[in-house]
Amino acid sequence: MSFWGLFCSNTFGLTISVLFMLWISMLLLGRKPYQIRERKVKIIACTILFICVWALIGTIFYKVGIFRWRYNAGQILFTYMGMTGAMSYLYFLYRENLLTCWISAVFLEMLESFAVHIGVLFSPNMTFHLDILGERLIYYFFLYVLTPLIEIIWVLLLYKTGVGKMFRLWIERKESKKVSIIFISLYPILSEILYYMVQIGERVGNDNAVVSLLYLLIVFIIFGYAGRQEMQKKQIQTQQISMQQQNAYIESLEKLQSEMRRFRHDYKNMMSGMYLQAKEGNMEAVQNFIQDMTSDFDYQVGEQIRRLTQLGNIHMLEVKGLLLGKMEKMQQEQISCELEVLRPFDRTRLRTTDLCRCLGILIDNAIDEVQGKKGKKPKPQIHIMISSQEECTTFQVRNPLYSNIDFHKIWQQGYSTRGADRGIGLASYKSILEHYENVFSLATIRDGYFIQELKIQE
Amino acid sequence: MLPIYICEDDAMILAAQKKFLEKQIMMEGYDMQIALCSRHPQEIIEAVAADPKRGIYFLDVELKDEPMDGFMLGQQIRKFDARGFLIYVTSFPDLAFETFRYHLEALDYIVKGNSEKMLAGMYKNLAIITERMCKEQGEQKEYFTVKVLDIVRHVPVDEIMFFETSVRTHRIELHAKNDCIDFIGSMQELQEQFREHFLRVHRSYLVNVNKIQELDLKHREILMDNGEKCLFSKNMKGELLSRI
Repeated sequence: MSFWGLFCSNTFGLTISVLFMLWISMLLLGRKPYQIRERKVKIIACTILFICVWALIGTIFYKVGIFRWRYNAGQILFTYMGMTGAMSYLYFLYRENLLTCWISAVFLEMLESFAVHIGVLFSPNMTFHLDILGERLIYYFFLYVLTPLIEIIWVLLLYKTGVGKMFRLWIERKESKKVSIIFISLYPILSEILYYMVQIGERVGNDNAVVSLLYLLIVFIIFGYAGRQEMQKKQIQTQQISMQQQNAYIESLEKLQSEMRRFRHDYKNMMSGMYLQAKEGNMEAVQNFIQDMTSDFDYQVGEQIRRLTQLGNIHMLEVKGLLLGKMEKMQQEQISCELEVLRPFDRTRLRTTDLCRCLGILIDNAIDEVQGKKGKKPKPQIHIMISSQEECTTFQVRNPLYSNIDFHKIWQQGYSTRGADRGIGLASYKSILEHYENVFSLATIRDGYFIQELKIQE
Repeated sequence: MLPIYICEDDAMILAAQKKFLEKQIMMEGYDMQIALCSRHPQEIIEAVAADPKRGIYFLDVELKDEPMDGFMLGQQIRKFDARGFLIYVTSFPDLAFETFRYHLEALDYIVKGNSEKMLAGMYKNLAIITERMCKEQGEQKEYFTVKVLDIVRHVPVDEIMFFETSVRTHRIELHAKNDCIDFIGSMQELQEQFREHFLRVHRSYLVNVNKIQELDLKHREILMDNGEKCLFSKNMKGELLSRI
């Protein structure tokens, strides 16, 4: 077969496998490629380039005879090159870290080769003479019809078993996964060795598929076991958070109760005083008393009750936990905090971890500004509003400003007035938001207040 | 003439409010008139829809036995009267006022527990409204109006430093003296809109030439009045120098 003919058929075959790769990688990583709509042209161009280069290398390898090296070393070399290419390609597509891309690439390669091997299982003999038309047609049938069919079955299987989620959990795991990574990375070599060992055992038929299957099963077990462990750990963490939250809740209820008790005590005293005045007919004093009492009650008990009702409207556990934590911090710093949640807030399009990070940064910014400003006017107070409307959710954090610093300086990357964290906080805030299309951030100075807003289109 | 609308489900309070407002308008000679006092929000909406113009609204937050509360009523009114004055009257002092102010641009809220205080609050608001109307008449500022999802912001054009393109497509960042707003827009359209004082000095920047403090020709940087920096491209140097 001529060089070009081979190149073209390679390209065709690779197009199919790259399309599958895209599909499976989306399942695996659980999202679409980064900024797919905006980078449409770039992504298509890169895909074509990737396919062509891969096909070209494959053709050259075939022609030069590298595939006929001893111990299938050429094949292994080619697989590694392909996997490296796939890793770069995935990195370009998803902007995930390189390790994730590498593991995904190896995993994809495993699925692909398994599909091919299963396909070959149905064929009478393994080697095709591409120069003979009949055999070539059979080869094409296997390559372009059967393999994709098996891959489709694979995708459905992956979808059903939720491997993607397990994979993501495994990736998020912090403990060392070096051994698993090395094991997975060695797949082409190990599978080849296994294959030879099986062959030496003189087993009948083609056991390549069995070998890949074995390997895949092991990898599944790794993902599954480690992923599940991670899941359990996460569950424990959320339980702990909710425990802490409940403790904080109980504490504030107790505080409320003790305040009520104190108030009741005062109120009894005042009542008897009023009784005397009423007896003497001093109506003005009685009126004053009633007024004092109502506003006093409001002031003393109102704030606690208010905060608890507002918190009760937040139905996202993580956000509630974050706010309770920040409120605690503010209390320690003697910053008063007002929270306003008019309508129940139960979900948003932002990923919960991202939302918590963003809110944390905004609130920390506000705390930074009012920290240590006790006794100054206006009093150090942070006002947090969460407003869920039908079409969008708004988070607003407002704090008084005490100096006349330039607005953009508070709101620019890398700037810091106190310590180095501040600028970094905002930088990461911006970089989180860059991943979302329907999230808007605003910052304003109005009437001596600094107002930060985060709006999410729902 | 500003029409005044009152929506209040308690007939006694409604009557007291009406009487007080009528008296105040007479005494102070305000250019206002009570258009409608009602216990039903629907009537208010119909009246506003029939004759939409800038008005003053005193709205009860909690409306018993009605399909909507004060917040929803405010939203309906805003559809017809974007610049009117909304004042909320509530029996609970812990109203989520920031939310009302944020979404409805409500002017104030008054607690009705004590009738003297309530009327004093109404009086204060009438004074504030009059003052605001006077101020607005004298003002001839040009504003840039930008919509971000459900809210609209007006930024004085002479406070805008520059517009910058964002990493995300069709997204523009507005940098002004007191604002930083991220919105959906197109540089081309902004360029057309602000032909007079703004110059597209770089692929990513549309700069207000009146706000330039100095040029760093070596690094091709522009320092704005507020201390922010932006870049300019080589072939814009000539035009930039001639415009400032």
